[in-house]
Amino acid sequence: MSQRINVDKRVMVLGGAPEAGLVTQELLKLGYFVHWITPDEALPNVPEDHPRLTCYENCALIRLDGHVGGFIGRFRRNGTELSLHASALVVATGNERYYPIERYGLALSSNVLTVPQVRKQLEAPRSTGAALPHRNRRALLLLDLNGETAKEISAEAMRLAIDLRAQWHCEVYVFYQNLKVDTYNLERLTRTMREKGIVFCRYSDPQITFSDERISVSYIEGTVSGELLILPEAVRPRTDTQELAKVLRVRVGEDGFFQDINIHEYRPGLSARKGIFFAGRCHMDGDWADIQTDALQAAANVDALLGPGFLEPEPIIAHVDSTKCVRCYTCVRTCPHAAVEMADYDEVIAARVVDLACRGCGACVANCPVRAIELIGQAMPAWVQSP
Amino acid sequence: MPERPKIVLIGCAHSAGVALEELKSGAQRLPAHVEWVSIPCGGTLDELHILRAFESGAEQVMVLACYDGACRSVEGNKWAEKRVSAARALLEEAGIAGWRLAFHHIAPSMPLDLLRWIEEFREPAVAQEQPESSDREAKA
Repeated sequence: MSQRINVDKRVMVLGGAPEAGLVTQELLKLGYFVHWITPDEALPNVPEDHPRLTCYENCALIRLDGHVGGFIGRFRRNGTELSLHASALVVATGNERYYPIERYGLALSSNVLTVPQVRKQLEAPRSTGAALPHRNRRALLLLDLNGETAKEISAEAMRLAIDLRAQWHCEVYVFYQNLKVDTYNLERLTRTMREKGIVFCRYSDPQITFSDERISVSYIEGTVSGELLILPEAVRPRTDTQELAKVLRVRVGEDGFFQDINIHEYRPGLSARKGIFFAGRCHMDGDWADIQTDALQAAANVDALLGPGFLEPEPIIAHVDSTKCVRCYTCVRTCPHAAVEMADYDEVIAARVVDLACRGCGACVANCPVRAIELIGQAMPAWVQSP
Repeated sequence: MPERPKIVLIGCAHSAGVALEELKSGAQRLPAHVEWVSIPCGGTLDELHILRAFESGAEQVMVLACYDGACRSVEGNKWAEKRVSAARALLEEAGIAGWRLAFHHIAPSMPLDLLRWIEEFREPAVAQEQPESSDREAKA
């Protein structure tokens, strides 16, 4: 029962994050036609005039019909609607940055600065000897204010700490509570920081007090005061994540980011729906190197699916007996892979499992109240069938 | 040694099925009184499968599904767990003791745990009377 269905090499990339650009470039290299669509104003690093690339800015997905091999996305752009076809879809919408300062009653001021602000001061052109005024200052870098700083932001803050030490020659203290350095870059950075004499202090519930332009931060073993408090940003899911997940019919995890399908496949970036992939910050936390790798992985996932030029159903798939179906929509609601839809069978409306999208989990089979669905290709012992 | 009562194992092919493959690759096998039924996902499990297993002569049934968050089909393991408790209620109504139906979460890396569960799968009170067998030390 192998029905091969030919598919064209057309992919939609949703989102304006930098990793979306990487996915697009990689897909173009692999010979795919790419629709690059973002709800944002502009797209980052667009390859110039590529014959197989079409870009759509200010374009919001309002509906997604069809399944793997034949998605039809309906978009709204400047008051008009347009529909685009693609065989697969990559979501690379990125995340959102904010300052987690409300909880500790902090406010940005001349001595409470963000990482980009300090970076700007550091890089501003200066006359010789400008490092001298900073030599006796102490900079306090406060990580993990929202529980855990994203790895990409940790890396930015750590690079800044190293540069401060090197250029301003000031003392740098890093406060953390749940710092994870399990990537190559972060591990290397922490080692360099220790070598340069940057001090790490762990806190559980920091007390931050201000007095006479000095700022004191208490940590588990004591208190350190300094002249400059540096706050890195924190990340959260984009506000449109939930809405987009609903349109795409994919899952959002407890942390609010898109949720990968489980670990058995050992392939990150797969959604529960066949043909929809996640790339980069919208579903993972990592430093820039990880995000780049993940973007390439997303393109590789697309190529693994569409590369052969045809799609085949899995060996075990569900099938609905349209004469038994009572149109209760239980299967449509139950299917974790969004593979069941209502269809017209010669004047009878009944549920239909889309062969290509079905992963053969059988959730619809067990949940169907009238036992109208069976798993094709699944061998069961004789005693299961016997009355 | 008296013949042991038949046990039917119903398990997800992605976790329990892989664990069984692991077992075979370690040149071990399921005991003869155990019948293995593979289902593509815990979500496929029907109360009927469990009841039919008892009808077919099984004394005990063990259902194996993935851990939470490890199901390829998102929440198949949760469906399985629900079905098991529903089936247990039906069995008890019919006078079959609830301990005869067991449910375990399993990962592909747990073949030895599976053997241990089968070994220890007996009526709770009886298990206390019997002396502990020494060959049960499964290496983690």
